Amino acid sequence: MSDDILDMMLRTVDRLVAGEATRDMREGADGGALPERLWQAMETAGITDADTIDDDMTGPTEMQALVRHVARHALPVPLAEVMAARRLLKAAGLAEAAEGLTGIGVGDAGGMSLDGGRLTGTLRRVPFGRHLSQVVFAARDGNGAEHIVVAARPASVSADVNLAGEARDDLTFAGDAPVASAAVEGAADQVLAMGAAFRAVQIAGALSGALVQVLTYAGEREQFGRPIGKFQAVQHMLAVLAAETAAASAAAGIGFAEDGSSSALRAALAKSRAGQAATEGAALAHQIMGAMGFTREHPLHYQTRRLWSWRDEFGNEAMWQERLGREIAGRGGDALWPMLTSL
Amino acid sequence: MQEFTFAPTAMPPAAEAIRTEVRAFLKEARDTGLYTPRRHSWSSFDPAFSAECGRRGFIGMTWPEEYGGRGRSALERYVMTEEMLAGGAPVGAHWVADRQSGHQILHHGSERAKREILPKICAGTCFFGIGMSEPDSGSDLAAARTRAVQVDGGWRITGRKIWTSNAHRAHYLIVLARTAARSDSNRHAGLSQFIVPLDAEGIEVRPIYNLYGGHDFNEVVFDGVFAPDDMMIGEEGSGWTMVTGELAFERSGPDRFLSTVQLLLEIIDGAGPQPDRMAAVEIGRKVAELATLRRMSTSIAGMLDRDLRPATEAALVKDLGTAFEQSIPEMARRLLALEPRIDREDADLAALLGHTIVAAPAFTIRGGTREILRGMIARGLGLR
Ligand SMILES: Cc1cc2nc3c(=O)[nH]c(=O)nc-3n(C[C@H](O)[C@H](O)[C@H](O)COP(=O)(O)OP(=O)(O)OC[C@H]3O[C@@H](n4cnc5c(N)ncnc54)[C@H](O)[C@@H]3O)c2cc1C
Repeated sequence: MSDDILDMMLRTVDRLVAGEATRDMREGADGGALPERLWQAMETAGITDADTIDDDMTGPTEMQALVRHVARHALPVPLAEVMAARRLLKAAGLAEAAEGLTGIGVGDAGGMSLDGGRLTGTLRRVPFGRHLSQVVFAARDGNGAEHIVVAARPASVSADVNLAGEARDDLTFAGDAPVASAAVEGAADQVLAMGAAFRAVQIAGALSGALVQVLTYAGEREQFGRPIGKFQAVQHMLAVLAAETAAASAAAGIGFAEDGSSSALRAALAKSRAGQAATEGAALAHQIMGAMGFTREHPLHYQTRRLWSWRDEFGNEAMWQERLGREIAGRGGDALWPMLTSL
Repeated sequence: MQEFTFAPTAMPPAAEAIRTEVRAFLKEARDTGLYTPRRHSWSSFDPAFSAECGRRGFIGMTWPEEYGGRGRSALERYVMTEEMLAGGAPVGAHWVADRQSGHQILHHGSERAKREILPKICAGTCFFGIGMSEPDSGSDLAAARTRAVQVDGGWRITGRKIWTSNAHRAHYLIVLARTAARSDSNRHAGLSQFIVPLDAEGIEVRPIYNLYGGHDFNEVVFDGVFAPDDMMIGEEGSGWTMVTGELAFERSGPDRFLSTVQLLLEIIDGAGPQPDRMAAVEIGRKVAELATLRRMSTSIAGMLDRDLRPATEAALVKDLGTAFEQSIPEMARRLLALEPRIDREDADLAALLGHTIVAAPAFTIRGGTREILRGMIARGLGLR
């Protein structure tokens, strides 16, 4: 995608935010509903499938830029999930879903089983689960081989939400047949990594949204006869918030290879650092905003509640850090630097 | 500006070729005993090692060949430096000259200064120190009081510099001095920079021992030291602009997050191939931070290569980077049951940890304190 097209798309998002992202819409979505009008407007504007226009035109950079921008505005829509599902299907050589939303899910510790063409098991806390037509995930067959599977949403849905009020629903399969599947080595890791890499991008976006709000507030709110942004202690908090935001953004960039694929290593680096930034950044943003930021009224919480949720989805920092640490220690100190420079 | 963007920089093939070359050189240097990685860090002063780097063409790489350089790109140089640092190479002797002084001379120095000095720097036989700080002007550099008075054919410098690293073993200092009174309307006016050989008449270098008894920095007293006109760098009064430009180079490089990487490597090895969960989590956390810092730093290298001036971004990377390197000894203390020691020069882990603990406070002071950097970032955010 050329810079111009991307620019146009980002501006389209801004326009939709101005028109659609009302308080009513946000409050209505907070509890698991999908803001249909907003999502449809995004579909009409070509944002939901901007990553499929043409492979030459739509690089992973643009895909990330859009997801990041939507997260920056804390829009309660499954853009990241839809793009992640498409990436996974494409990599597995599977066709895209015909109708409705396709999202991604991760099975619980036992994993999903695909035996004799039948799916059993539960996908826990699937993002926007109740709204999906189809879901992409990994399953293991009787021989232990891993598959990327796309299946229609099962009948059994147990509804729940994350801290931001986005739907996170358990989907239980009891002998359903998949729509399609393909044997893929490391399929479970691929799904987890793809989800984590997208969450890192979203964290970077939500942090930058929070930073903008907090900066504006610091310039307007006066105490002791001057804007609080003139106090050095507040400036330093803002400097750290900006640094963490920049770090999250750089880390998220590591999450994807040039071809838009991810890997356990890339996702581990991206999600570990971005999650850390989410923690530090959300805390600072609230500290700078005082009581106002702690209200339902002020929109900061749309970003910060997402930050607190996203850092734990598709593996929290500790989980990825442990994996990464084991990998690094297994290879030994001398292998660390060459690994970093080969990314 | 509300946000700082760090666009990724793809290293060109030539830079990757340099990477291979430097790695091969470092391996050879370790094998032949030229240095011991896990004992040294980049600030170790080792003239023999520097001379070898000079012979291999690893100093002044981006400068024109007529001055001894190799005409390479900034990204090639970046890769060379990060490989040296990651490899624990003792590049401290030529570091300042390569990183900033030579750069200043090339861009703002007289033809004589370029001809006489740059080739020696490239050869790894001429070392520089930075004469900015003074007893009463540390963070507030513009308050410098050392003054230079115009005389026949040059200037006479009188005053006192402090914390001058390597002044006792370098060949030259670049000295920031007042050539005109500071005006109320412009605090940054009236400062100029001079190249001063450390064996010039009227210079006295007095050691200042650091907290572990090491002798790295000094007090330097100037008593009417003569600097000829062509050893002024840049125009009279341009000192402030040059100093701040120089600091962008000093702040963004990999030397601002790799100072303790040798200890990190030791911790990884110390944890063994099957670390417990706590060790694994801590290692993973630090490695993710390191990967992110490297990405930000290479991004700045790309900006410098495109002649941009990412001063705020550099401040931001230094702030994050020095906090990272400062956290490594504490990580070692959490993971390894080990009493740090400082009474030996050997390469064992206890000595490496001991040395790192006592060196670490300087990371967030040298090159601009954390607080000053955060002030710069706040300025970049439009808050001041
Ligand atoms: C190992 C080492 C090597 C060095 N090598 C050199 C060298 O080679 N050449 C050279 O010229 N200098 C060198 N320095 C000096 C270094 O640049 C200064 O120490 C540094 O700029 C800080 O100045 P200062 O020590 O006078 O501290 P001060 O400026 O007095 O600061 C003391 C404390 O006050 C804080 N502070 C000061 N002003 C502000 C402000 N406006 N807002 C908020 N907080 C503030 C600082 O952050 C710090 O915490 C070196 C220092 C070290 C530690």
